[in-house]
Amino acid sequence: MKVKKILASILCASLAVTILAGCSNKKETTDTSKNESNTGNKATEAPVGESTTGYTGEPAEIHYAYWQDSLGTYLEECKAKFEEQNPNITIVLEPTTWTEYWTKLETAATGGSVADVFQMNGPNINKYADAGIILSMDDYIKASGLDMSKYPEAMNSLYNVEGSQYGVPIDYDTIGLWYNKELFDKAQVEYPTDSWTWEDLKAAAEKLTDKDNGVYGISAGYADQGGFYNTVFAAGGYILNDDKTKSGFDQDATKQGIQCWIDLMEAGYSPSQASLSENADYIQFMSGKVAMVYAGDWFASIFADPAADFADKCDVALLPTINGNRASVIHGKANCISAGTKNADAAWAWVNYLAGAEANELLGKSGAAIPAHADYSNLFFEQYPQYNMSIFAKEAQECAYEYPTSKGFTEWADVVWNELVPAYSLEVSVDEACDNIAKQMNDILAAQ
Amino acid sequence: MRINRKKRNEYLWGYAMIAPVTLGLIAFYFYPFFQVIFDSFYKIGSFDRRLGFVGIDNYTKMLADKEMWQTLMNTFQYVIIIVPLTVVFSMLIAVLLNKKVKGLSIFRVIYFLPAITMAAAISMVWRWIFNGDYGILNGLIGTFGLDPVQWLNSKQTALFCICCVAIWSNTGYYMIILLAGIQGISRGYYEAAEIDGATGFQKFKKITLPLLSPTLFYVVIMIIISTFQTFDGIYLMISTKSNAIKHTQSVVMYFYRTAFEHSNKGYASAIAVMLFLIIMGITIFQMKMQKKWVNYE
Repeated sequence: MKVKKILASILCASLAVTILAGCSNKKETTDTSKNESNTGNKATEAPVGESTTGYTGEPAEIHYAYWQDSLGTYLEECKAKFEEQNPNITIVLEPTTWTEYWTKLETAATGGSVADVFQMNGPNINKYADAGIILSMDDYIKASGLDMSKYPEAMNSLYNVEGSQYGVPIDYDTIGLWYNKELFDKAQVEYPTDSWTWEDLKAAAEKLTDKDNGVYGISAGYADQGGFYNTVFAAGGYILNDDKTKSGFDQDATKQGIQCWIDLMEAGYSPSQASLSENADYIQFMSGKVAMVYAGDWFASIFADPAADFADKCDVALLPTINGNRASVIHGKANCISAGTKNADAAWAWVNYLAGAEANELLGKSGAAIPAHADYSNLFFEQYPQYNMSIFAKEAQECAYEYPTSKGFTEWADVVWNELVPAYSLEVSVDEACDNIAKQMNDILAAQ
Repeated sequence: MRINRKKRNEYLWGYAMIAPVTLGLIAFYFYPFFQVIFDSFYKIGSFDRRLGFVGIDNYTKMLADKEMWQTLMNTFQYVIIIVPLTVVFSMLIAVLLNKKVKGLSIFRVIYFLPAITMAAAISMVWRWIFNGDYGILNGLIGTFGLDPVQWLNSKQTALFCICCVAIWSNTGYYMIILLAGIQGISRGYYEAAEIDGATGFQKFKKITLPLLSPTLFYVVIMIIISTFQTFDGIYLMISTKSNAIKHTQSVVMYFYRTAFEHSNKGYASAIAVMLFLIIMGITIFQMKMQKKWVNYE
């Protein structure tokens, strides 16, 4: 009977394991600050001007969470310079991979142990501002005299929730048409030009597709910012209406902006949706399986990486026009301060430093992203003389559309993905998918 | 009853000894368990904000949730495929490795290796094997002139790929437990049977199987429970952006996505409670059924 007893106790333990699944792993023990007392939110000690960030408060440790790998070197440099200027503050960098970043950040925010300063993006800003997870920076911006007009208007407004500024832009990005010159040469197709229309793109994709050798003209898989958002705007449609109360997916122009991708899929000019969801478009592009890809400026650092041996094989052009219109979605990251930080003044000193001239210069020279500060944007482009980088700035000035976001974004973005992937997989029609999206999205928006 | 000093001292020591485990269980098992049941009656938004008591709404919502039903179906498919095959394979290998063969320890190590390798590492390797464009499996079938298959991204194949990996990585672990059970059987039974002229298969059926049944019972229950809770293999091998996610996600995976990706902890708690009830029901059923086949000496 001893065996039976042992078995019974093992069973009890294993049943308990079931429950473990229900136990959220909330407590990420991070010692946010060594400082206990200084919780004053007043910006009295905040410095004036951009170049000085002299912080005179108590010693503090500021944790900074971010996701983009390629920002690592730039942030290390910033940390070193900042700590030199502010001996009382220690910066702790906390990188997380993109796929885990938002889950981890939300869990940490729920448990009250989120980093003092963290990177934010357009899809999530409303959620964090609404829940009071991040601080309004209005007072700090005013007291420090930070000149917000130096940043793109679309970026400032993206991080402005109901009249309050919750984030200071770090960078901005637009989308370009990257192409593999080698494959173009091989198929004897002219490189894309500024006057390309969607029809030109389609014709080129047809000529470039060489199924016997596993080469496709273009990657036409599901992508929002790097895909149908651009074509929907170019076709004259919209994702959200201006006051963010109604979905635009039931509009004919919106459907047309999505249909144009499905046409490429149907014609067989693109790897299948299944293939693209396993091996990302840029990976297939770099391995010479795909000749054209819609991709953001930040891919320049990936394509130009000497280890990839791809740098000289590609270039970038303006996005093609649809019905005579060109559109590129503009988006960018921002720095936010946690409402739970023990030392908001020190956190602001770091944000203010990253917003300033020195940090923007370092960012531009690192070649990781386009600095949001207008005076330094060009530094990024100069890092890639081999590519036609000026198109990204041109798009930002001439045909940039603000990234569509609203309250309830995560919910409706999920609906969009759920309904559209079958369309990209050629299982349902765009019409049907879009009507389904519009219906569900309107309900979600109405509930906000 | 009076308790003298010595006795009380003894009691105190006893409690002190079990305190670490008891406190650990309360903090990490019992408290979350009741919290989950409690949460399943609430609507909970992002950052754990309670948006009000909703009664059994989360449970009625589950009945109408197509994705939930698909998820349950997937989970039962995992159990039906993985459990019998793992039991059969681990039993087979355990019996074979009980024989005197050359390089016995090497074989035992080889079969046990998957069990001590990190799930993340295993998944990375299998993901590459199954990769639709660059994988070795497609390369292999390509040499026979067959078309490549999107193993992990098509509804028809992804679930079976997960099963293969699960069986492959679990077999060694249960094999060791069964092997220990087999070696606990006295040689005397076999010698007596040999004298009576029993064949190898007869010995296995009449001696090994009945005497191994307590261990086998334990193994079966453990595999069933762990298969119901399968998560890491799916999480690591199927991207949430994959076409096949709905046809491969297990209940625990769906729970994770609902709680942490969609920030809907109330509904997720209801899912966890339902899984708990299913596993409890099946385990009670097995405990009752054991009288019929488990043989305690």
